[in-house]
Amino acid sequence: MRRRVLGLVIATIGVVALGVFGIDAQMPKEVVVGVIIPLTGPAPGTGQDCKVGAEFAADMINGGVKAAAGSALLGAGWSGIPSLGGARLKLVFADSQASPEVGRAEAERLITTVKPSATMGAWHSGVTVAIAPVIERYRIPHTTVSTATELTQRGFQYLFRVGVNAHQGGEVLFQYLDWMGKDGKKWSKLGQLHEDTAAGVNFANAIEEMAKARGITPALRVPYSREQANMDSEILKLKSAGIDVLVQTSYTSDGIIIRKTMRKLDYAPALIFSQGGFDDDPKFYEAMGDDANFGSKRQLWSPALSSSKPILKAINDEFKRRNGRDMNDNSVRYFTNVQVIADAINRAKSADPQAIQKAMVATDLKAEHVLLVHGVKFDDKHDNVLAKAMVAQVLDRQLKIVFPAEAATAKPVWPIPAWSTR
Amino acid sequence: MTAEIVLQSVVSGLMFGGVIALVAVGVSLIWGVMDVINFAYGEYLMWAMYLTFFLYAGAGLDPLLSLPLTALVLFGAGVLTYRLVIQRVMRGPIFAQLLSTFGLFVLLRYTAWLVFRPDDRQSQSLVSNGVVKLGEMRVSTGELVAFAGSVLATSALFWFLRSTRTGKALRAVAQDREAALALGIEPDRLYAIAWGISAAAAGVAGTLVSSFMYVNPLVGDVFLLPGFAAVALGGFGNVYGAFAGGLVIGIVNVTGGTLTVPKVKLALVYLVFLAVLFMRPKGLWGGRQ
Amino acid sequence: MTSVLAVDDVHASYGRFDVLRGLSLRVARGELVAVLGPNGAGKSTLLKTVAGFLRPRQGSIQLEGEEIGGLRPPALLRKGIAYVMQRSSLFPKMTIQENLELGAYVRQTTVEVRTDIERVLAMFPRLAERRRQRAEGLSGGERRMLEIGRALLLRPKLLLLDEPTMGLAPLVMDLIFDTIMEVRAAGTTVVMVEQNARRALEVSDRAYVLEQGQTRVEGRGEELLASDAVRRAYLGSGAGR
Repeated sequence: MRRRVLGLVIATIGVVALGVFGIDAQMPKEVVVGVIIPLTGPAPGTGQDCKVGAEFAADMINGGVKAAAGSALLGAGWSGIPSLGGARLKLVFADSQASPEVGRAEAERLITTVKPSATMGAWHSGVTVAIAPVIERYRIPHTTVSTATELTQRGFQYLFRVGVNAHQGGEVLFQYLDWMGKDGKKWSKLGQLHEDTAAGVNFANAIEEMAKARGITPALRVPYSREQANMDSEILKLKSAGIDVLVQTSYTSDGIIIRKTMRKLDYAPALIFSQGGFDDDPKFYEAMGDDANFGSKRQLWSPALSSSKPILKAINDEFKRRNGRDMNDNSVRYFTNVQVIADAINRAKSADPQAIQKAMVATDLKAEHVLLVHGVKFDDKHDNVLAKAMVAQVLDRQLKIVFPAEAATAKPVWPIPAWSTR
Repeated sequence: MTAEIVLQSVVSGLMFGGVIALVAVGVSLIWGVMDVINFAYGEYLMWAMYLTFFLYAGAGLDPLLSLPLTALVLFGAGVLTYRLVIQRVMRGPIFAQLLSTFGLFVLLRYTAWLVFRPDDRQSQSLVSNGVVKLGEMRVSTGELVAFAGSVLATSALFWFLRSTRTGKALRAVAQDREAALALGIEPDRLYAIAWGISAAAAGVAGTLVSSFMYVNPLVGDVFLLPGFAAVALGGFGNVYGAFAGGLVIGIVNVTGGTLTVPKVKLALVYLVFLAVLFMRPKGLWGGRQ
Repeated sequence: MTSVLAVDDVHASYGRFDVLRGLSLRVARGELVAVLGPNGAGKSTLLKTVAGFLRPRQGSIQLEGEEIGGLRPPALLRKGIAYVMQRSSLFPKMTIQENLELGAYVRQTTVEVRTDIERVLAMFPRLAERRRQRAEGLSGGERRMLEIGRALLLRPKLLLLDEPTMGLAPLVMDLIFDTIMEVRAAGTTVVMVEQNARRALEVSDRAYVLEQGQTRVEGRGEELLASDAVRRAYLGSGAGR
């Protein structure tokens, strides 16, 4: 009789133990997230910024960033995904080479070999547009910061835009112009200079729409192909048309050539407004020196914001310690991308892509939970309704927020001073 | 659109055209001497730009200083190309000759892609950042030096062809290979020299543009396509016509773009190219050198 | 007699087509030798083979006792064999001056070359006055003169002329023959292939008549001219054009 009871007890313990460890055995040790970015190509600096931003976030989520402790940032106090028993977040990178074809092939390769639970990318709008059908087909939830409007117009269920879209990004330009107008600054002609892939075209279309809706007739639109040695005709066209508010979308190499040509041809509009690209790349600042000054851009974050959010300073300092430079729009956006994904995984309590997608739809992160200045909440098209931008201007070779006033750390310089005075 | 703007576009076009002219002369030389179109020509220019970049990035050498070295290396590459590839293919059908330079193009471009990756690299030179005013017209020091350098290099080439024994022998081989052989001129040796000179011209062009243009594996297209148009314009095989054609193409490119829409500048170049081929198939200054 | 050129039993073919089938002849120093015969006899082929454009399959060719069979044109030029092709071989876009300069390509010394150019131009005043003009602007006769002049820049031991008067008007033809005689008088050994057999025999020292790749008849110019049999058999159409 005692032996039978003992046997039963041992069996029960065995079953319970099996159950406990069995459940544990079903919980993954790590959750894999794919990241498709331009590690090589015309703007490798950009890709590197995205990479270190994402890695920084992943490290924080896995418990490796002490500086984040105690903050409201999502993932700050974690040691891996809590609801998955501390499963580590593992990032796997693929290089899009800034090419839609390569990006698509790499996305497919990544998804089929590594089988990630989620993906993010690809920075270049043109590449993201090429990747979107692939992730939709394989049903992998995907976050992006690309601005191309079409990404959320085609009914993709698995693509989520964390950052501003072209309209949200362009909106701030017109608010800025109104604000400048109140300050007595005058201008007469709005023109656009943009590279001719998805990023440039989408933003230019959005700006045109928004301008017309406000009763502004854009005076000239100059699309250009990259891979050129001589941009004189583009700048001469703008100069000849008297464009004094110039909206520009360029990547680094063409951005450098354009700025140099502007100096050469003595063309200095009152305002140069860029959606980001060349002016986020440290290489541009290296090459241009003081000539990089006075351009303005749609800005999504600034280290100076840390004056209102002290935790941001601590985070930026730690990032700077690890990577030798401040965080910028790219590293911050990719940091936030990782946070959004980690949040969805945690709420889904699963590493299954479809479960994560359902959780991601319900994302509700406030501004203090992420590094971006705004929170994350998706509408039915998966745009982020909370996304908004600021305006920064390059002053003393650094980007400083100049608008809106409550976030500003410097007074804007309008108009851009003539080249002869510089 | 003021006269000043148009004039500036012509000046800028001329500067750009100088380099295109050098490229066109290099292509035209080979075409004129041995009836071979070197499709890989732009890739030699690209490799020259990489060489310039690495000498700059690794040894701090200003492109203007490394120019002679690059020209020399490219000369050697041209001779090697002739001896290893073209010499054999010359005995074959025309089709094989065309394919061989196309094959070279693929090899050179994709080796660069593999080895250097598609990142843009930019050299810096003493002349990278200045602006020079010629009256009311403005040119960057980089493009002015590139223009002057191209004119100098082309003049040196023309002098070589006109006045040196080897240059005359080269022209002789181009005009009548068998007759040249009967006078003791070795065609193969002269063809190799021609390839060397042609590649060196690409080397010079590549170095000159390195002060204002970045290099990636695709940069050959930027200069070669207008270069071909210039060769057609100037008359195949006529190096003087090719030079003039280059200047014209440069102006068509920049001024055309300024007067119409910048986006179509390259299309304008091709339009001119096609129009000339259609109306005067031998080019504006057609016929052999 | 001292032979400048000794051809012994030479066989040469174009692909499978045998043209020279055991041809032998001799040329002494300072002679003007004519090579005659019907079409296809191998006259041009003989010159091409001696000049190094064709390799003999068999037999020997000796220049002043030195075996030269199988050597290529550049080497033969250096040994002093100058060859003027049947077809026009001037460089059309180059000037008369430049064409002459290239005639001396294999030579080294420039001062001597310059003197020789002047001497040649003195021989051809019509060319001298147009020396900076392109060769393509010259008449048929002037071209021939330039080609011969160019060949002389080599200071050749042996001058091979392939149908120098072909396609020329009778008066011009005479001019060319006069030139050739002048060249010979100055001491150059000349072998001349000719269709105009009568005139050729009149000016040459000796002549060979070829048929089917072999020498059929050999003799002094006036002998062959006088021979009825030879005239009828070989020289029927040789009255000039």
